[in-house]
Amino acid sequence: MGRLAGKVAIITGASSGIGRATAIAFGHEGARMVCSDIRADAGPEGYEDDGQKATAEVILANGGQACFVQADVTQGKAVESLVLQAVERFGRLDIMVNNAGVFTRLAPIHEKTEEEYDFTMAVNTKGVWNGCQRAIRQFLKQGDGGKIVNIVSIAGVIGLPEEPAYCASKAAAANLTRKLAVDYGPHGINVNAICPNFLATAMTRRFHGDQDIKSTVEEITPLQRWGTTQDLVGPAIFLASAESDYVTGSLLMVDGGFTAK
Amino acid sequence: MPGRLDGEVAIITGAARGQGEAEARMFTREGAKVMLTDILDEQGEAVAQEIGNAARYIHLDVSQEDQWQKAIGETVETFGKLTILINNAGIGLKEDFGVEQTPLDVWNKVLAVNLTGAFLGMKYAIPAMREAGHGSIVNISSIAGIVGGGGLPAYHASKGGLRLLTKTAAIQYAKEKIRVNSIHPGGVDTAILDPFGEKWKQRAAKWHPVGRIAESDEIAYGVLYLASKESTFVTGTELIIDGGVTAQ
Repeated sequence: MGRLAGKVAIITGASSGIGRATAIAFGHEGARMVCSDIRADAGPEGYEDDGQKATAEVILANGGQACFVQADVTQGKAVESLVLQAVERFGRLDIMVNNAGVFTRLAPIHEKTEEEYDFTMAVNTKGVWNGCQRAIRQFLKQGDGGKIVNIVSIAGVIGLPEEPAYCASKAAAANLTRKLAVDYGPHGINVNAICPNFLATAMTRRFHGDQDIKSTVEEITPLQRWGTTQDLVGPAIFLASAESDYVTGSLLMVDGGFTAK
Repeated sequence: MPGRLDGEVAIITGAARGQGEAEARMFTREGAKVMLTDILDEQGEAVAQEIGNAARYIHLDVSQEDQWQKAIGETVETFGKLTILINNAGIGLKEDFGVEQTPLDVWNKVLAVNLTGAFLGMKYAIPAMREAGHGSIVNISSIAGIVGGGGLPAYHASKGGLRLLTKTAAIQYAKEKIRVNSIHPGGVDTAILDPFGEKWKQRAAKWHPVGRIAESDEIAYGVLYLASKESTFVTGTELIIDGGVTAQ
């Protein structure tokens, strides 16, 4: 029996990177997966060997249950429809992983554009807000709790050089996590976040591909390496499973010791 | 089905009852060999015997350096190596009432078990982990190590000290693939709460957004996560298992 046997989970940004690795792992653990993204395949920038294959197809090929639902997390109506489609397809919702996120470009605030700020906040903050809101409405309707896992970042708890919009957007998502945990504790709804540091994904390819930045990250990370999407799988399963029923409002750092300093 | 701790060997302190006992049972179910330690020898022996071949018990007062050396030595001798250390033993004393009220010997006793005990455990476990090629240390702190309270100064100081001892050790030993993390439970229904009475437990349940205190297994699952290979990129972190208390 898998650790998520029979559970119904939505993961946003599920086509590549963290979302894809997590969705496939949840499928292995027996969850019925609703993989959501703005496109079904991983795209060419990712580190997936089989990126042309949609995440849901991979799960189906592994013998699991999965479907793809296209949704733009910045649109409340789209996320509402995503939750409705999950419930129509699998009967209920147990787990919501708000993973979709964007990163525009490295630049200090005096060089950033308003468009960059708005886009970053729309996906990384409002997208998480939309996902939490619609999932919680469904959980309350079901009346037996639920699990929310927000993929935040170490940029939500410390200041990182450059990209101020990303840091602000992730900090907002981090405190939204704590806040919702307090409100919905009495309803058995757990709200937690995972804070990764630098992972090799499509979003960070331009940094991982730069030898200088790549080795700097290795030097300043106590475990001396970049994270991989697989490093997020264990923490995500833990927070999605019944094993963490008493964990709520927590930020799980998965950062190779970066924020211990 | 493969266990999540297949091939691992753990020492768990304070394992005769409560959280430590729950961890020992869960760890052996997941394939680990476990050396249970405690000062409650009769209870500790009984738990180890009940678990069976995967478990042994040895007396260990965690505040005593020579007893640590002996316990680590026996673990490696019995099970061939050491890869996991759970510094779980802890005390809370009713006499630890306030800065003016707490007698010095009470302060010293709490610090000796809760903080010095974990320090000594790491000091003697790390060489064995280096030998094994990897290790995971989980220090059981408390939410009292993150936030202040209206009393229990020695308890808060010991748990807060453990929080930063954890991070410091994590950074020092990251290169050797020895990970060190802390867990911060809120109220847990174990014997440590007995001196404070049933009423206190009922009051405590109300501070927790989830409306109850935890069962030992709910902490043990977090310990399992940090002890296992599922958290290989996690070190120097605080895992808070408190039903939302410190999110407030």
